[in-house]
Amino acid sequence: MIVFDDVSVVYADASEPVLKHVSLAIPEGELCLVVGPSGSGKTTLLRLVNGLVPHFSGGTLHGRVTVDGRDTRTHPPRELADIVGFVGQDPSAGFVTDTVEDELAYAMESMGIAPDVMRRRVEETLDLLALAPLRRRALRTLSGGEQQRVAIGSAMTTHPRVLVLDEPTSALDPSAADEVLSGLQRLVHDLGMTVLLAEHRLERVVQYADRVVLVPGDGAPLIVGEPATVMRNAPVAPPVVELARVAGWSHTPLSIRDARRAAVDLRTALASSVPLLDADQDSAPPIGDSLLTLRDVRVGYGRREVLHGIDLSISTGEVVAVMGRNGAGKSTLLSTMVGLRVPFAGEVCVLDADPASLKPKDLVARIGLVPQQAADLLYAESVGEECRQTDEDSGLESGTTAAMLRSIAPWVVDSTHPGDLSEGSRLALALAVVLAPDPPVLLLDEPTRGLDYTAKRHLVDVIAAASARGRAVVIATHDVELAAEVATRTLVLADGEIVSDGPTRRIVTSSPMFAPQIAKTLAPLPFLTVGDVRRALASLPDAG
Amino acid sequence: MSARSTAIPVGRRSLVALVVVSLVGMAAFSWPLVMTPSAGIAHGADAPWIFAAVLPLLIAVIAAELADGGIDAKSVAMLGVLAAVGAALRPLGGGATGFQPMFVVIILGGYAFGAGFGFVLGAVTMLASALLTGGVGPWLPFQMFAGAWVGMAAGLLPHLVVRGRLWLLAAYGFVSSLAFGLLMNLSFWPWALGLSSESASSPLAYVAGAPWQENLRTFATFHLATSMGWDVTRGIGTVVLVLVAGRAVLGALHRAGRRAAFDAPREFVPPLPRIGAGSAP
Amino acid sequence: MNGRGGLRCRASRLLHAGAWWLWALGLAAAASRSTNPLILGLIVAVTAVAVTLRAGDTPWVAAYGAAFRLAAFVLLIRVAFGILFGFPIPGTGVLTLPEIPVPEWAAGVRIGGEVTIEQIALAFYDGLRLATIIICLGAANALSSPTRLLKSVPGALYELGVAVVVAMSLAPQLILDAARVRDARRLRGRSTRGAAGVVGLVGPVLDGSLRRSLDLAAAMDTRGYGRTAHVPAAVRRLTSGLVLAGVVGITIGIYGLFDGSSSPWIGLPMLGAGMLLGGGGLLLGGRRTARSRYRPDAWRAAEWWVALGGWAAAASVWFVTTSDPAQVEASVTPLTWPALPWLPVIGLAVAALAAVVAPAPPPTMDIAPDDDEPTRSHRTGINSSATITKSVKDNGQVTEADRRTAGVGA
Repeated sequence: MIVFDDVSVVYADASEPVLKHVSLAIPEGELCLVVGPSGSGKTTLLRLVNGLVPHFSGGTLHGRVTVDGRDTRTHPPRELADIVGFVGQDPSAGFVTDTVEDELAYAMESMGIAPDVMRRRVEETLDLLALAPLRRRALRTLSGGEQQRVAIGSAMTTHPRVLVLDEPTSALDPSAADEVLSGLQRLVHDLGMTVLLAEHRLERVVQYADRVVLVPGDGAPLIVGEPATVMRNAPVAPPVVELARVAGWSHTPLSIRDARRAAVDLRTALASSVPLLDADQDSAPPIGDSLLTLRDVRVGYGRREVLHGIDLSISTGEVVAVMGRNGAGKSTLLSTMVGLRVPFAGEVCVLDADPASLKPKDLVARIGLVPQQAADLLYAESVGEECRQTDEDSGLESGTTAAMLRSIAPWVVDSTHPGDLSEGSRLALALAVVLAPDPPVLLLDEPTRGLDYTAKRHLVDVIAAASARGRAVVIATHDVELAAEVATRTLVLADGEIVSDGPTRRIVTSSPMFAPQIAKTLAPLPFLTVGDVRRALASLPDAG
Repeated sequence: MSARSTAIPVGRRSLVALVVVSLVGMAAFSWPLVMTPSAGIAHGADAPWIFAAVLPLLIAVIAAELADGGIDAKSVAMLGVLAAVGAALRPLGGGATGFQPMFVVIILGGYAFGAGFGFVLGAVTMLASALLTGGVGPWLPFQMFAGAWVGMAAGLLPHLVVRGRLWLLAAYGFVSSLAFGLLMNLSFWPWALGLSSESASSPLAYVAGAPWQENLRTFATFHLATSMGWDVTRGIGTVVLVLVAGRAVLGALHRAGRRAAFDAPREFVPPLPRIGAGSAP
Repeated sequence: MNGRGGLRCRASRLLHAGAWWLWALGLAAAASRSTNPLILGLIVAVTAVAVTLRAGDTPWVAAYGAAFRLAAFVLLIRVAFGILFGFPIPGTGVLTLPEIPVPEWAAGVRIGGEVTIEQIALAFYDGLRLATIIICLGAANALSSPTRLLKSVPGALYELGVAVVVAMSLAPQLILDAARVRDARRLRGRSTRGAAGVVGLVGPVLDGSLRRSLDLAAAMDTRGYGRTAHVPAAVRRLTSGLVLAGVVGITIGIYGLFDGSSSPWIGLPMLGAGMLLGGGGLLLGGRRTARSRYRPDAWRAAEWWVALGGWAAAASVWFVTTSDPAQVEASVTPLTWPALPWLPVIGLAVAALAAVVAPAPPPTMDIAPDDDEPTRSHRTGINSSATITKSVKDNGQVTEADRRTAGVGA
């Protein structure tokens, strides 16, 4: 179905090829997963299928890409629109019309399909993706998962043979992500569609894939093969695969079910190490003074109350994860903590001051927030300029911010424009900017959106270092792996109230939806991360 | 330094259409001065309505000509976004000061992307902002035309080095603000002071049938007395905005143009020569 | 939906976008012909009836209110001009303004001086006419949103229709972006007040929106935007010929209008012919885009009734203007209370009836989910953006209270 014939791509203003000597054949009806670190060329690979590279982006294409017999050299994207459907990273940015129904029909209108055929296909797609109750809604009012489904639906109404998706679940919480992925599963199995999918959060998706393409980046050759084979040695891998490596299993499991079946012996072996985990808890740094307090806080928009009576206290050295489904109030809570939202009632206290009444300079010295869209914080012309301005604004010694950035993300070039950076680098820059004045309280809102595993590891290191220095860190996230990795305490927010609050280990293992992969695999043993398992195995009496 | 991107190319036929229709539009604007006393409609109240009806068709004709080869999706999207910026800025200006920040968007957009783009940007910005802020009235076609000319002329300005171009744009902004005000006043003049077919309701009103010198003089007084203050404020406001925010805006537009790769070549060549081992299994 | 055809039994549906616009343009044409305040007041009443009964539940309904505000503003300006620059009409003096000396070359012009009530009345009647037209256009906006009208744009202007639609849907989004970037400035330790605060928003908001425009363009390309149909050379030549003939016709027509000494055929008739030819060329030129329309609005009997109703009102006023002009012009010398001629009343009643007979719009299901973090605003149409921008104008910054009342999230 899709054939890459010795393809290399050089963009117009670049000197080195992004992809080199790519030869790949994807047969019909497969779900093919494309993985690799940020900036490695995954997006370019996906856009080659569509013809967006080089017709839309400019550049030089060496070699040939053929989709269902059509050569992209002679077919620009509009002529491939009837066989290739493409869903980009940000579905809301790609909406051309106002309402769900019109959006679904847009592609068919462009192709001049007869009105009765269009009508029928729109009805089918609404049913297929469970969008019927939403049909007349304005696109702006939909939730993230619904928008993603509409974007997929609008790519499908032309009955394409190939569906290409670029990180479809990055902005979704686990339940919405599951909806979308199972929908895609159904498309592949019921309709025989070929699906090409790029994802960072492999744990959600690798079990469904028929084939994995690993793009290492820097022009290195691609690694293609069965998921188990490729994942066994891949630099980026989901937790169950890392567990398999640590435990030394011969077969690489990809789903929780496979992992549980393979982990029977491991569970027996580790049963005796459980008391050690509790000991871990005790050796955590002692909780110090309270840095941030909320007392009976009620916050809302207009006349609608979003947070009802929040009572919370956060002390030095704590790393708190705030979890909950999209829309539960996590971002509102963080905005209230930093003073951007003024509560209807109740008190917010950051180091004995009300953040809403502080001057910006004083605010930044006490508490820092990295918002959901890190790009909002950045507005200088270059990375170097950004660092210099931060030094100036906070009265720091010149070069502090740059040094902080180098410790988090040494690969970032000083002269790049912040808007041109990859997600991970942008987050690193935002972190450096917020961390440079070294505020005692640090807030992060959904930091792992769009980050690959390497960048996530760097983030975890930064958070651990800050906590070791005695800073308090609050992370709003629905990435349970991150919470398991780094948080000492977890809060669960639902319907504007805190429904659970306690040590991460207890909270995260008590609920199946929120449990990390290792916990699900080794249940009922309370292990959360591969690190836990590694330490436990090392401490076993007969460990080699 | 930066090569200008041409988002909407202006072919020879489009150029001819542009010139001809501009001349006709000019006539439509200046009819109070140009009409001879014995003309049939000069005494009626119909003339401004007729022109208000003709102008949209003329704009549509030029737009259709420019769009004849098909406008690229990137140009359309960029057009939409810049018009949205202008439309969002429109409520900020206006009112008593006459200050219109959306002008800056039209001028800078036309400068960055060429005359064809500037023409369409001016018209679309005026239309979208009028629809969004509810300011639709019989003056809308005139505003669209005048806005389109401002954008087009901005696209024809020469490209200078970084320092110089901000001053050039500021100067152009001042001149075009005054010119815009003049044109709008000229078209609005019959409405502002009365179209009654009775004896003149004001010594400053358009007197149907008077010789053009007299009308010109009357208009000049009217213009100086009423609109000049607003126009000068608008001009100064535009100058200040261009000087203050111009670099940021032009930088953003230049980056966007580069990313959009309007003029970048697309090449299809044989595979790269292989050095060493073969590709992946 | 039953076949009895009574007034109440029509199934609710959205009328073709053009029907309401034609109705409103008819009313505006009627208003342009008369300065009789009673007729104008009746026209405004008819639009109010139509908007109350037949406007849907969309954010565009606020356009009607905005039109009233604009109309009031225009009326005020006109009366102010009339007071300052008006020709002294003899009558009852009301107030005396200081007279401003006028330079030599503008002699014959008076600024200030004694103001009579006749002068004010004249200015008021004139301004009322313009105000009524603005209100009619606002009613058109409210009854049938411009986005729907843009869907019916002829094919030759398709790209520009898309640009306008994109602009209108992105503008509220930009205001939300600006609010978010403003918050982020505070997080960076920068002041958000004053001019520096506002200018600092420009770069990031513009950058973000231009970036988004590229994603939008990619999505459009991917879904087949810009596919052209094969148009035979003969049709292409015909299209160009029609457009050229249209422009020539218009030019000649305008010249004929300007020059009173030419024959009456080179005037309005030529102009009309030119416009028809040009319009035909535009419609034919639409053949080059190979697009179809999903669920196009049908033009049925109800649309005819509505459109013709508006023009019936215009026709009635025009008829009275030609037969008995004094009835539609409010007389100022002497200043008497205007009379209400019966024919326009019938015409306007027909227009009102057409609006009532038209089918009601279906209720829009625009209910948002229980989303507590409205990163997308639910009803951001003219309403909330106007509120926000009004505050920005007033204080130079958006206060918390404004954001809350506008119901816009961060």
